[in-house]
Amino acid sequence: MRVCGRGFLCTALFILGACGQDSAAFRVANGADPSSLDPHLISSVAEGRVLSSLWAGLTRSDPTTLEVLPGLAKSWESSPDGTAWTFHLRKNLYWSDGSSLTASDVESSWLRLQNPATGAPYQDWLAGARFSSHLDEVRIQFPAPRPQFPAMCSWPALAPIPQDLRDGTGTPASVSSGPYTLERWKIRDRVRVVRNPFHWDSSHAGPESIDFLTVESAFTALNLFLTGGVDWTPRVPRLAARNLARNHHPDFRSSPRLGTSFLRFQVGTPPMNDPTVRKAFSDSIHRGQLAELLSPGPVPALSLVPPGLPGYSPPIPGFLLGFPGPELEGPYELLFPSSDSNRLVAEFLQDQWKRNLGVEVRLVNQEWKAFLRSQRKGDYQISLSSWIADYPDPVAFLEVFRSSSGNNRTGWKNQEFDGLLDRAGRAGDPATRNALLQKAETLLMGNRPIAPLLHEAGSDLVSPRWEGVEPGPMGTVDWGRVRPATVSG
Amino acid sequence: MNPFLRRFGAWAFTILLVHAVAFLLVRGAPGGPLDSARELSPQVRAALESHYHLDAPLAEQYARALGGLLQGDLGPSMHYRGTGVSEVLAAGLPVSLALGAGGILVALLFGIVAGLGAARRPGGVMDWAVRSGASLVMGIPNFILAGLGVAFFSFVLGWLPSAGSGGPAHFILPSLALGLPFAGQLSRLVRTRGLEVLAGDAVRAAKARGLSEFHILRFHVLPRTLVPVAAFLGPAAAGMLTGSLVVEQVFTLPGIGTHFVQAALNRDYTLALGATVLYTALLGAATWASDIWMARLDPRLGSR
Amino acid sequence: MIRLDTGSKVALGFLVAMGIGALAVASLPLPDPSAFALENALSPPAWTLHPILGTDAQGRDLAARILWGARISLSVGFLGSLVALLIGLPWGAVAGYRGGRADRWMMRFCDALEGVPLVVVVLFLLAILQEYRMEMASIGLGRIHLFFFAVGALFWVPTARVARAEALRLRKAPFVEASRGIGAPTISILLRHILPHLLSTVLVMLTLTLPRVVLMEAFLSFLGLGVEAPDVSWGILAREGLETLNPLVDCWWILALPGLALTLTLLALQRLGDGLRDALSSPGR
Repeated sequence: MRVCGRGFLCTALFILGACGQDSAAFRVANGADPSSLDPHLISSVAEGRVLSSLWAGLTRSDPTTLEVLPGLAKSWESSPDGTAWTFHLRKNLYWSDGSSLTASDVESSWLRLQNPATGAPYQDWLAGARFSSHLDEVRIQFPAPRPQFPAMCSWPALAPIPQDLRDGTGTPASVSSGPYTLERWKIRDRVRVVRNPFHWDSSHAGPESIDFLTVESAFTALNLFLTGGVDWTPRVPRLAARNLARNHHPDFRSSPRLGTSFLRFQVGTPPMNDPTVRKAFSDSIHRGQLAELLSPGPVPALSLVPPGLPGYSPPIPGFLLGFPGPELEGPYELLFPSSDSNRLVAEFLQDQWKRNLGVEVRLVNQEWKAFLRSQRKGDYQISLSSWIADYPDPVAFLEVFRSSSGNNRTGWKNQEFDGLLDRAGRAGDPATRNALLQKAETLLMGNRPIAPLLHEAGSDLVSPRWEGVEPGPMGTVDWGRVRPATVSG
Repeated sequence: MNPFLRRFGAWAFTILLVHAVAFLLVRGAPGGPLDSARELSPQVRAALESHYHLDAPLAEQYARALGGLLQGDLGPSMHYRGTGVSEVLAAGLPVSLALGAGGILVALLFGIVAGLGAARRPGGVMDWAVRSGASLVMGIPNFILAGLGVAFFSFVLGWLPSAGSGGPAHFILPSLALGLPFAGQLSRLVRTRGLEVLAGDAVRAAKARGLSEFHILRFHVLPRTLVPVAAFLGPAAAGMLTGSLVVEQVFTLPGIGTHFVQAALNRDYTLALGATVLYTALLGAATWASDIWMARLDPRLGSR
Repeated sequence: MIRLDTGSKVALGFLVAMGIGALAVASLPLPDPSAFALENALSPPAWTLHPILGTDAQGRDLAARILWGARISLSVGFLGSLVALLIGLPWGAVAGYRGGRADRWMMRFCDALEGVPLVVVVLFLLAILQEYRMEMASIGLGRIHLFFFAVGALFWVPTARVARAEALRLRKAPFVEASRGIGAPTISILLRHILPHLLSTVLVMLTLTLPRVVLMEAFLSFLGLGVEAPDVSWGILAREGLETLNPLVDCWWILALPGLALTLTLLALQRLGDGLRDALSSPGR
């Protein structure tokens, strides 16, 4: 028994010793763990939120208006044919350890991103490009026009990284360039960042330190928010969000995101090779009800590109509920990745097709990686998908459905569509470009290799102790505008 | 043969067997670590495949994994790029061990105290309360138990943090959610055994000597109930490993339980394999410890 | 005949009622458990036929969902336990009866198996067999069937241990010794003497394994590996109910009612198990 008592004591002491830490000034329930802090190796929205605090891009996009603003580069211009861009860096740029950040750092970073051996998800962004740097100028030459490149530069993947990380000797983010610099990263727990005094815009305010907490479940995130454990949760469970929206709760905000959920049809094989069948499945969905089901936030989508991009208005194709459709003969199957909300959407669609088309569609859910494999192989009839833009430009969506794109995954190949995108790239002025892109999207919607369902929205809860946390369409905030709330009245 | 060596051999053999089976299972699952929502360019895919040796024949990959395991090198994680599996697991292990220890503490403390309390007066109010309480905690899924705990202690009372890590207080609710179902089972075991002991000659003699009830329970009954308790701990450890997957997720504790599920889902082959091996090793160690304790309590079992 | 105490009879009655409800749910006047009706979402329980137990956030009738959930959860529980018994009983009986070297090896195999975190096996089994869903569907197998096997694989070892202990005891019983004395073959002794005497153990083990299987189903549903839509189980309902456990949402019935059904069923099973054990071990039998 004495042994037992000592065991108790040891255990208790062990628990006490296991963890003990302070907390940052501002805490975000960020979502899944980042898989790395190396900007060349990441691709998710939650990762983007962390990494954009650590890495400064040549440009940045205004969180609200999506306008492309100067970042490390103070200005940029393209060559007359639009295939080359020259960026002029600000004077006196530094890494967080105080060493100089130069144009050659930018060039070497892009070379690393471009090298397949790095294994960067965004390697294709720089495929075939050539670089040169001189003093505070860096020049990039693409094989074809790339008018969206300055917008792309706002995503952390194109941000310069320091020498030791390029050589593979340093730990990611031990030296950084963004408004914040890494204090520590504990896997599955948090990324703690503190203000970087060497950031070019060091005058900017923002919290002294930020904790990006790994909180996968939205319920847990909500519980943490309600008990004061976090100051911002970018995901709110649906039922709670609905009540908060109905009561116009001051801490709650819901705003559109640059993302669209849609159905992919496998165009390569029967029965979905028949455009009238695709049209029937696409047009028999009551999108308003679906939006209501997932409210608050998402809005019905009739196009792939969400509204709100500067200068671009998506086409409104003719949707006709209840037109005389083709003979539908099953069996049909809808593939979706396992998750509660996908399950809900799938059940809704099944119900809709049963009511409006009179067909029985079998639901098949696969966990995420298996789903991706099936989608890559084209091993499905209809699959539930979504796309979130990496940079604020219609092309971020439309490029997905190029014939040669690895993200296409529908088997739909259309020369005319590719040609329109190419011509839009060459078009000098934005109005002509947008008109051509709109034409391309009209063509895409007319062929319906996909059926857009909803334009996505984000739900956020922000503590009243802070102001300036206004997540924009990319789900990001400008940390410079975040400050403790001034007590009024 | 030396019983220690034999036991160690069995333990090592189980680990190797599980490693082989887990390797086959995780490789057999559709989809791979390089499949993502945003397609990798063919060159990048090829480069990564050769970096992780995914392009080699399966037998060679297994030989590589086995060789690494024998040398104590679990390889690089395929999800946490640039981080080794050992690093990922080492970061989570203290948290998971603390949670497991907390769960066992709760199970032992509540289980033994409640079980003895119930055995004191069979059919009494205390007995009834313990038995109903035990049934209740055993009849509620632990994620609901956790949710109810958060609702009561964090929202209604505001005493405990609802999730996250940061200090000892963060371990109280998770330990309760993890340990209470086992405390329920244990209290039943202790009660049954306690009733037998209380009816036995030793206790009757002690009562005749006029010893206090507490003294009798503490020095006569408790030591004799420890054999079933020790026997229970082995299987309970296995159950707690399973339970910790859920508890860590609900409370976002940065332990290894979540890796265990998440790595399999991410097809992070190396991490999934590493986590499985670690769990198997821990489980074996826990069963072993419970057997050793049992052997010390009851030397007749020593030969096992 | 087994004589049960009152508490166990009540528990048995509850279980039978729940079982009948689950079996007959298709012919009860209840709405489709998966049909959306957003216009009456989140109606609280009321004294009308529909929705007597309220509706969920999608306007689906909770009474229908609980009963359809009972169908899945109870059948997973029952068949899963049955699989566990079918593997565990013969294994334990043979090991216990044969004894010696065979017993040692068979039990060592059990030890090794208990060393494997079987959740891994289930996770992977579910993922892999998903791949062959077409082939499986063509022979009439679905994910739900996988559950039975996975769960049987998880829980047969404890059953085998109990069966072995019983068989060890029976081996020495006079009537078995007598059969062996007249030269009856092992297989017939096992079938005619050992297994029938294990039946009482079977009943107790069934009531012990069933709650664990039902909880296992809830556990897998929580991890998102549960039954496929549009099927619904108590595990899925409990998971959905978890969303209501915060001060911002005030629809207690979404968690409380399915939770009550689940917990009461498990309590009844425990009570019945205790009652059965007492009845079977009492000297008056």
